[in-house]
Amino acid sequence: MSIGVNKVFLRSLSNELRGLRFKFLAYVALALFIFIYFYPLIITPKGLIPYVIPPTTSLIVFSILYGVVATFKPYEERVLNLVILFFVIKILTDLTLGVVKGFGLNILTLTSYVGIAMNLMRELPTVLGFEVVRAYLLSKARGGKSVVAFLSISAAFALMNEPITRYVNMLNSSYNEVVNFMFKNYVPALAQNMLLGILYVSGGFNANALYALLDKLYIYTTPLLPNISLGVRSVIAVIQAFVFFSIVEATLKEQDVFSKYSFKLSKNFLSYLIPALIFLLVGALLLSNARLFVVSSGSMVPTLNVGDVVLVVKSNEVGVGDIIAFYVGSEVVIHRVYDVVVDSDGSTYFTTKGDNNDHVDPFKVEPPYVVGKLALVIPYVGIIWIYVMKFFIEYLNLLSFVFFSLILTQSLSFSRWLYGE
Amino acid sequence: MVSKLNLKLKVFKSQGFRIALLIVLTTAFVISTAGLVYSYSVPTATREVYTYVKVSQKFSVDYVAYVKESLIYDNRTVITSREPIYFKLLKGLNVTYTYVLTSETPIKNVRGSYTVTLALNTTSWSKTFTIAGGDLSEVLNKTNYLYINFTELFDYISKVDKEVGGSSKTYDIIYYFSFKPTITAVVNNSKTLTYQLSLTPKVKVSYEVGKSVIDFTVQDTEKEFKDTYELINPTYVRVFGLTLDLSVFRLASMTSSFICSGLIAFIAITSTISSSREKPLVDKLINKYKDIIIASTSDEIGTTQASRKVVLTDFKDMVKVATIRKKPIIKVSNEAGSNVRFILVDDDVIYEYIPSEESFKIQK
Repeated sequence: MSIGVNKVFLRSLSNELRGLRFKFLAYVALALFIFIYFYPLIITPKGLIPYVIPPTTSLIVFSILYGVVATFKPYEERVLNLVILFFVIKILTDLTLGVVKGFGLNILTLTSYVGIAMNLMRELPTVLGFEVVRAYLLSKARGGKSVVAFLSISAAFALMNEPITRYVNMLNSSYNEVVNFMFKNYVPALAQNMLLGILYVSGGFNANALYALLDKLYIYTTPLLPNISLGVRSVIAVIQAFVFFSIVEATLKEQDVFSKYSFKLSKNFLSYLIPALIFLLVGALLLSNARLFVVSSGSMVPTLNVGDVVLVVKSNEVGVGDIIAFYVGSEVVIHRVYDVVVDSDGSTYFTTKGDNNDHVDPFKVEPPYVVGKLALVIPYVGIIWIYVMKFFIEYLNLLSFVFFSLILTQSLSFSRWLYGE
Repeated sequence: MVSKLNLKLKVFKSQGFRIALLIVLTTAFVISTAGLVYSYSVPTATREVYTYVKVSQKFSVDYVAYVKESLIYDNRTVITSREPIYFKLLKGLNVTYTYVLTSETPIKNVRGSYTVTLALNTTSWSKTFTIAGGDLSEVLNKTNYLYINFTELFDYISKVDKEVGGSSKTYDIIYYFSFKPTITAVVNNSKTLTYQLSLTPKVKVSYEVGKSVIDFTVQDTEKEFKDTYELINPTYVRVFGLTLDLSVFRLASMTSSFICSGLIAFIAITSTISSSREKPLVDKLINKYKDIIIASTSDEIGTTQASRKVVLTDFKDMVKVATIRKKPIIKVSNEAGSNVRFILVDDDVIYEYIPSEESFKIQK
C-alpha cells in the first residue's frame, strides 16, 4: 500500500517538475520572441544579421513551444480547407485587380533567385516563431478574459508587423502621417492578425501557421501584383479579412448565410428601402455623369458655405458667371467662371474667381479639367463629413475603418462563441 | 555489432545526453551569432596612407632701401623693410632672397634651373627682360642679392613714356622668379622616383602717380608637394587557430548559426515527441484533446439521466461524436485521480470509454 502511495507521489512530483521545467522554457521562448522584435535597438541589423538572428531564434522559439500548441481542434480539417480557399480568393482578387488596373512589378522579388531564397529563409522560420507564440498565448487565454486576451494579442502582433525602428522614426511624424499609418498599415495588419487568431482558436496551430506561411510565400515569390495604391491595397486587405471572417464563421456555425440575412431583411421594411435608395442614388449619379462634393472652404461665401453639399453635372456649355468644379492638381475647386479666354492658337480656357475672394485665381482652367457645372446645393449637410475627414484624412481610411468595425464586432461575438463564453 | 549500435542509440535517446547536446549546441549558436554581430562591428579592411616624398619649397625676401638724406628718415641713407618708402626719396632697393627646399623624407639628389624675369608694366605700355638664370644650385639654400636701381629704371620709363607719347598713372616693377627643381628620392629602400617641381614667386614694386609711398609685395612664396600611396589591409579573424577573411568568417558564422538552431529545433521537437511517447496513453489522450475534455470527480455523471448507454472501445470514436454533436468529453475520476473513464452526454444517450489497464502504463 505504502509503495503504491509513493508511486503516485513520485509520479505527481515528476509531473510537477516537468511542468516547472516547461514553464521556465516557455518564459525563455517568450523572452527570445521579444528579443527577435527589439534586437534592432541594440544590434544594428546590417549585412547578414537580419537574415540570421530572426529566423534562427524563431526556430528555437518554435521548437520550445510547438509541443504545447499542437493539440486537437474539432474544426481543424474544415479550417485548413478554408485557408486554401482564402488563397484562391486572394490570387483571384489580385488577378482581377491586375486586369482592371494593370500589373506592376513586386519590389520584393526584384532580386536574384539567391535573394528570393534568402528572403524566404528569413521569413518562413520567423513566421513559424511568431505563429507558435500567438498560438501559445491564445491557448493560455481561458475563462472570461479570453476575448480581451484575443484582442490584445492581435493588437500587439499587429504592432510587430512594422519594425521597431519605424515607430522610433515616427516620433517626429505629423498628425496626417500617423493617421495614414494607422489606417493604411496598422488596421489591415490588425485585421490580418485577428483572422490568424481566429484561425488558431478554430483550426489549431496548423491553420494559422499554414495561412501565415502561404501569405509570406505569396508576397515574396509573386513577381507581378496589381498596380494599385497603398490606400486601395489596405482597404482590399481589410475587406478580404472581413470576408474570410464571415466564411470561417458561417462554415463553423454551419449557417446558411443567404437565409440568415434574408430572414433578417424580411422583418424590416426599412432595411430593404435604405439600400435600395442608396443603390438608386449611386446608379443615377453614375449614369448622369454627376458628382457630389462637400464645400470645405469659404471662398464662395455667401453663395456656397462650408459644409454645403453640391451636385455637379457634366456640361459642355460653360459661360461667364457659371459655378464650375475643376481639378487643380489632384484637388477639386468649385469657383465661378470670371472670363472665357480664347488663346492665340484658338484654344479656350477659363479664368475663375471665388465670390469671397478679391482676386481672380492664379491658374488657367482648360476644358478637360472641368468636372462639371453646379446643379444643386444642399446646405450644411456635409459638415459632419468635413469633421469626419479631418480625423480620417482620406476617404479610403474611413472605408478601412468601416470594414474594420465590422470585423471587430464579428470577431467579438465569434471568439466568444469559439471560447465558449 | 548490433549490440554496439543499440548502445549508441540508447546513448542518443538518453535524456542526459540530449540535454548535454542541447547545451553544447546552444553555446555554439550563441557564439556563432555573437561572432556574426562582431564581424559587422569591425570594418572589412583598414586603409593606411604612407608618404613616399614630402617636400616643401619656400621663397623669402627682404630688402634695404637706399634713400636721399631727409628729415623723415632722420638724415639716414639706408632704411629697412619695416619702414615706408617714399618715391621721391628712393634711390634703389637692395633685395636679398633665399630659395630653400626641405624634405621630411630622404632625397637622393636635387638638380634643376631657375630664372628671374623683370616686367615693367605701365598703364600705356609693358616690357619684359630676363635678368638672371642658370643652374638651381647657384641659388638653392643660399642668400642671393638683387639690386633695383630706381633712378635708372625711372629714367628708362620716362624715355619710353616720351617715345610712346603718353604718361602712365601706375608703374609696376615685377620680378618673376621661376625655380624648377627635379628631385630624386629612394622610397621603401629600393624604388627610385623622380619628381619635377616648381615654385614661381613674384616680387612686385608698385607706384601710383599722386601717391607718395611705394608698395612692396611678395606673392606665391610657398608650396608643398606630397606623394602618397594607400595600403588596404583586409581584416582577418582568428578562430580555433585558423585565420579567416572577414567575409568568410561572416558566412561561416551564418551557416553555423543556422545549423545549430536547426539541430536545437530538431532535438527539442524529437525530445518532446519521445517524452510524450513515454507517457501513459491516457495522459497522451488528455494532452492532445485537452480542448474538448473537461475533468470531473463527480460519481453521478452519466449514471441517472440517460436512457441509453453506448460503450466505445476506441477513444477516437468518442472524439468523432464530440466533434459532430459539439459536446465536451468528460473525464471522470475519483479524488485520488484513479478509476478514470471518459463520458459524453448527448441528450438521453451516454457514450462511455473506459481505458484499459494498459493505457495507464508507460508505453515503450
